[in-house]
Parts: sequence; structure tokens; C-alpha cells
Amino acid sequence: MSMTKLGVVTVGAILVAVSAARGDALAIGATLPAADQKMANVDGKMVALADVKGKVGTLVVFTCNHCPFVKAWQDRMVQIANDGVKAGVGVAFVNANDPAVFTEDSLDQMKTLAKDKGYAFSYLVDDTSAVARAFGATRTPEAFLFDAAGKLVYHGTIDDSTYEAAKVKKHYLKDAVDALVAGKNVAAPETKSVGCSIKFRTVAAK
Amino acid sequence: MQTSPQVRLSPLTGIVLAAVLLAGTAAMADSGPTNASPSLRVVSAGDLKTLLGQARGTTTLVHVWATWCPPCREELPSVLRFRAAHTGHGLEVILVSADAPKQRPQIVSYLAQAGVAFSSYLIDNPDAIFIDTLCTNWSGALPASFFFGPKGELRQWWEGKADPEKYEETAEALSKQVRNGGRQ
Repeated sequence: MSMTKLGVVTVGAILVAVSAARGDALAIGATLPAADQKMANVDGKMVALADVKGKVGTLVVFTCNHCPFVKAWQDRMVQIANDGVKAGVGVAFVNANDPAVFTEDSLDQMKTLAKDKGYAFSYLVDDTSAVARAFGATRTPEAFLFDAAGKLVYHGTIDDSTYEAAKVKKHYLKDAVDALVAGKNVAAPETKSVGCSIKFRTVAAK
Repeated sequence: MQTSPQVRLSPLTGIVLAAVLLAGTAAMADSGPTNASPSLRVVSAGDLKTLLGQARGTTTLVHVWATWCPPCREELPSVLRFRAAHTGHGLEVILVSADAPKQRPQIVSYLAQAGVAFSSYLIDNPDAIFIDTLCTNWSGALPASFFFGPKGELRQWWEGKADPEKYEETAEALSKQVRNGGRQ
């Protein structure tokens, strides 16, 4: 992990630190990781990403309840996800945040949000943050889109205007899902934006 | 809508009231930094690039944070102490908030409570262009800190909260490099 690398950076090794701080997120073409990890869904069932896979592909979005960026994008994210479900894309929103940091990120409040916003897909609790770690996810919201073969075809943000839906010029995630459904290549496979850092759960010492 | 029958102002009273209000507004605008109302300018990524260009000749720390972000709130006091210790000694600190622009009043109030009396900034759209203006490898997670050298080149950066010692060690290492003419 990059954080471990950062811990051993010495004062003189400035340039080493610059490269060590790169994220370890999945590369385009990578296989969907942690597919068999069962997670609690807001419907009370235990669900793994392997169960979510759709005929056309799979969309996994690391998200949460509390984050202002998530709130700003919420309606746009849900629209894309629900449209994806209709088109045969399996969708899971995954919350890897420790609810001890924000109680708003608890399962109970996830259930309320999923109902209020009309999630037509799973909203899962990554209760050790292991799935987020396997993806190399660092922030919310952060989307990963896989094709029917489970290969990553898109990784990044929702669109290019966080706070103002009316000013979106580049619909990155929507365009990626549309391309996947249409059997085309994703034009912009990697994008980014500022997001909330994932509040990783502490892993018990081995 | 109902009107209130009790209060009727004469035209003269209205003019006097308007004058008092105007004078009050002018006094507030002129009162400067002593009233602890920090200036917070909404900037684009392009504006930020210009600011970094103007900071050439000194080491500049750009610190990106947000009021609602717990690690950012925990770290801000030590960043402010770091700024106080180094400003004017070859290092400048630029604070950039990634809060929503509509949250501006809350951010100004938060900065005032934190004792910030200097100008800081609020990014209008925290998109990829903003990220790449600071560092193309930054994932976009908050908080994040970026040290630029005197020629505007990125020398060190990290995302996530850091100890005050890390800021000090970085400043010391960079100042040594500057003294050595930019060599490692």
C-alpha cells in the first residue's frame, strides 16, 4: 500500500515520495477483484459482487451517505445506475466507510437513503473495507465499470461538474455505461475529481 | 401576503435609515483584517495556476481541505501553525477549500473561528483540471498537500492527514535543496 511506503520516506528522498504516493487502483483491463466477498445489502441479504454481475457488465461505485460530493452527485449517480440496471448492467454501490467516523454511514441510514433515492440495485456494506482495498479505491464517489467478461473498462468520477448538474459538459460515467451497452470502446476510460477520502476501517492486527 | 398596519415610515425616515445602513456597510467593508472576517475568493483551476505563477521565487505549499472533512479539520490547526512559523521565510501557504461554493458563508465563519485572518481560496469546480493543476497523480482524496519549488515545480505532495513533523521535515529538505541550487 502506498501509505506504508509513505511511512518509510526519508527526508532526503523527496522524489521517491512523489512516485510512492501514486494510487494503487485497478488498471484498465484488470479483472473484477474480491468478487466472492459477501457483504450485507440494505435488503437484509448477503451479496457478493459475483452475484451482482449483469449480462452486459458490472458497475461498482464506492460511495457512502455523508459525503457532500456524494450528495451533490447522488441523483445523477442513481439515474445512471438505474438506467444501467434496465440495460442489463449489474450495479452495486458499496459503502466501505467506518460508521464510527460518521454515523450517517451506518447500515440503518443506508437503508433509508436507498429507499428515499430509489436504488434499483444493491447498496452493500464493506464491513472491513477489504473490497475497497482490493479495488485500490481511495474516495467517494469512485466508479469502476467492468465488461461482461469482468474486465475493467472505466474507472473514475461521475462527470465534470461536481456541484452544478446544469453545467455538466462531460458525462464520463454515463458515456462509459452507454458505450458498454452499445458494445463500443469507452472513449475516456480513466477520469478523476476531488472526492471524500474513504474512512477505512481499522484492520485487526494479525 | 398581509401587510403590517402598525408600522408606516415617513419618506424622510426611510432616507435616514438607508443612509445609516449604507454607512454601516461601508464601515464593515473598510474594517480590514482586524474584524477577523477572512477573505475567501472563489477561483477556477486557471486562477490557481496564475496564483502559483505569481508565487515563483519562493517555496509554496498548497493545502486543499474542506470544512466537513474530519481529517482536514483535525489537521488545519497544525497547517496554520506551520504557516505562521514559515511565512516570510521563503515559504508561502495557499489554502484551497473544496467545499461547495454555495457554502461560502459557513466556510468564512469556520475560518474566522480557526483564527484565519489571511486571504484564502475556494475552488469553483473540483474536477480533473483542478487536480492536474496541482498533481496529475493525486487521486482527489482530501486533505491533500502540495509543495512547489521556487520555479513552480512540484517537489513533494501527499494525500491524507500528515503529522506536523512531516511538514517541517519537508520544508527543511526543500530549503536545503533551494540552498544547493535545486540539486538533490
